[in-house]
Amino acid sequence: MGLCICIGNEKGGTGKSTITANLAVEAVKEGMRVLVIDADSQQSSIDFRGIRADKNGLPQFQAVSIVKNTIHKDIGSFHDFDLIIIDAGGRDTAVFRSAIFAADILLIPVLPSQYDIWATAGTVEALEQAKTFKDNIKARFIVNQVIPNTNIAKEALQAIEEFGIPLLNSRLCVAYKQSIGEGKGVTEYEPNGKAAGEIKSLYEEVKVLWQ
Amino acid sequence: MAITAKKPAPTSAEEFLSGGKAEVHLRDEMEQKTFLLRMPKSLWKTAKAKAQEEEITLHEYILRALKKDIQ
Repeated sequence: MGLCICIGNEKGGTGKSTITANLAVEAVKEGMRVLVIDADSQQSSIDFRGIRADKNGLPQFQAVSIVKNTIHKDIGSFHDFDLIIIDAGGRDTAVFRSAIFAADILLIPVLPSQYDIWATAGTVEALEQAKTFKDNIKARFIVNQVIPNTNIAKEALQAIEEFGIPLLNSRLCVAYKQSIGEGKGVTEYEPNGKAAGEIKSLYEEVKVLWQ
Repeated sequence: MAITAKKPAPTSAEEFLSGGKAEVHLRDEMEQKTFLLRMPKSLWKTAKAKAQEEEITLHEYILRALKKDIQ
């Protein structure tokens, strides 16, 4: 079985599916065999994969939907993949917890607002509980939709640091929605754009975690 | 500042999986608890009469009154 990364936060709208899609694209571009497990009933990752599958010439990843609390058991049977990325979230359910339990690495996207930071406390608590049984889960925060050099951003970063989970250095500041609608990662949609630079930086940082 | 009140750690993986806030909330909504309610006969008679007026059961009437008071 390959490495398993869970992109999860029980708070909705933090960019889980967008980050999932872009990390999956970066990995397949490097020739990795990638499986995305969509554990969110909204099925955004499945939809993205569906659009992408119709695009000739793009390297493809596979995607399945598992909205059951069996993900941590099911991943053992996916032998043909180097990397499994789980898009998990929305609510603190048994499915969400199963996704965390399955993960070698948990990436928690968070928006720099007080509401989002409060809501993230539940995810951190679930992670701590999961570590009771699987203590080698590496967790990192990803700060998304940052407006750089603002007091709000600085205060939010300080508040996030209080959780005691390391923060990745990469910051996601740019909206990526157009590329998603075309089934592309941002590095394919606008290779020299700022968003592409952010995703490349994020991917490189995440790679260090699994190496 | 984020403050999290820590709950006791789960004692098994199954307990961890079923301990999500959304799951607990759903269970609390779906599961029923039954207990014997003792009330003055006069109150019971009035409640029953009102329930009949509204063409609902006494059970439904009391549950509704209780919800109204709590919420």
